[in-house]
Amino acid sequence: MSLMRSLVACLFVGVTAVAAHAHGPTPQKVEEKIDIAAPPAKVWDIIKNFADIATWNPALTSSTGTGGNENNASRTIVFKSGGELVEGLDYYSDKEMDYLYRLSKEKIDVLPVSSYTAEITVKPGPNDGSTVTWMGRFYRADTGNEPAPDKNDAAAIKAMTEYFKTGLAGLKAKAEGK
Amino acid sequence: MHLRRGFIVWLALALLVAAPALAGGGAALVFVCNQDAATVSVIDTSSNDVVATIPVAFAPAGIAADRQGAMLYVTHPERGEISVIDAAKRQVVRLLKVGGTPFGITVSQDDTLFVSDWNNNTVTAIDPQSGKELRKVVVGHSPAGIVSSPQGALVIVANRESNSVTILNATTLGIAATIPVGRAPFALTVSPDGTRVYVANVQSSNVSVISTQTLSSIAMIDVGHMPYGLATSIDGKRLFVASQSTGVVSLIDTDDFRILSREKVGRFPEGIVMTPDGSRAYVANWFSGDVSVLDTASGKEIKRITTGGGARSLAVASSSARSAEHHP
Repeated sequence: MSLMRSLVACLFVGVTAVAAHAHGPTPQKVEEKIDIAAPPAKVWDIIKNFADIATWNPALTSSTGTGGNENNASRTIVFKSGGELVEGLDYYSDKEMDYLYRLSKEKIDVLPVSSYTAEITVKPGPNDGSTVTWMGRFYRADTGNEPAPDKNDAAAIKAMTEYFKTGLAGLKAKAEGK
Repeated sequence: MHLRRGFIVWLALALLVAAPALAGGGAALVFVCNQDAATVSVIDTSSNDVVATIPVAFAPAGIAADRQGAMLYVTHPERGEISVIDAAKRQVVRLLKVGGTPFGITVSQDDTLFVSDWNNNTVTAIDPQSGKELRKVVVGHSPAGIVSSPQGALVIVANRESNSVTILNATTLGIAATIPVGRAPFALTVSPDGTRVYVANVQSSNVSVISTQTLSSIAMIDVGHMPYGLATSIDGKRLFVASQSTGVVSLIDTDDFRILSREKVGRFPEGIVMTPDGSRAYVANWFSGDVSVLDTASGKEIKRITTGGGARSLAVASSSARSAEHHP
């Protein structure tokens, strides 16, 4: 596992173990919701292919994947701001219009978080429309006890919130045909 | 299978454990550690209401009760501290400055605290009065959940980033065995007869069953996605496993490892504990900040109790033992 390898490497070069750990003791959460004036089936149709997230999420320039929508499928997402992340699909339900995925390998210069799990769900919303909920559980970039300001809980929450908000706004615009 | 023998051993143990609880006829209390709210909620299991909310220091993570239910110990990994709560007074009575990143915690029969240190990859035996380190051992990477065996001879810790479990001699902290498990083991529990350890492997979505007699892994149970907390029934016949991401608690037969039922609980369930009489299980739901009460016979949720943000871990103490005032 490359994560473990890099962790061990960090230990050997004398970087503190504290900074190298992918997980920490205090998980953080973000939950963003948006109401969309389009039926759930239509909204789900836009987001349901795990690998095609860049077609609706304006924070990304491209996305590619392997494994379709099966468990353990993988996608690589490329950010407009630069850098890419690899995410793995953990749970997928066409019926529930829901999927859950996790970050495969942290890259804190791309997103200042480590080891996130996230879930996106489409449910019936107001006026025959939809409500899309995107939630994440994650750890700050530096899970040591004295993180720098750009690697602390607040920075992680801010980055995740902005990413989810941008994505949901893009989805709404696309689904409502604006 | 030494089922019969195991059962008798268990019965003797169960009586020992249950005796103090039954003596005063009091109901058990469940203490819930709310990480975001920095509180410990006290639930009276007879009414299933929150009867007290105890403020604690920032970001409490793990909680454990001593065997008499008199004192509770709460870890603060981000502060290197352990809060000590007097169950009768329902308040923090001292703060142990242990340093490092204390995370998982368990209390042995003689009240020694065993604490996993997430960043330092150690298990430390700590004096519950002074907070002084008695012994220390290096285990695997990112040790998380830690339990002591019912008889107190063993301490077992899950090494999350090493995909292993370390079994320690509680007296010497010598390593008896290091056993490979699935990916990212976080929580673990010992069967009431002490013969088995069940380990929840978060990333491989299964539970490793370890024999404390052969010190080896004897089975792997496929469970729901991201298993976190787990607990056995008091008779040892059932295993409850919380699947964090899907918000489900699975009820598993420990003879044939069949999944008997799946119950939807709150969002992102983590810790589970069992009441001393075995009738109820309490599940801490991290995302929704509440606790699901399950009927252990059916596995069904009978109540959901709001506790506080980031409810993660729980401990049980019997209220009769609380008033026993056995502690100095």
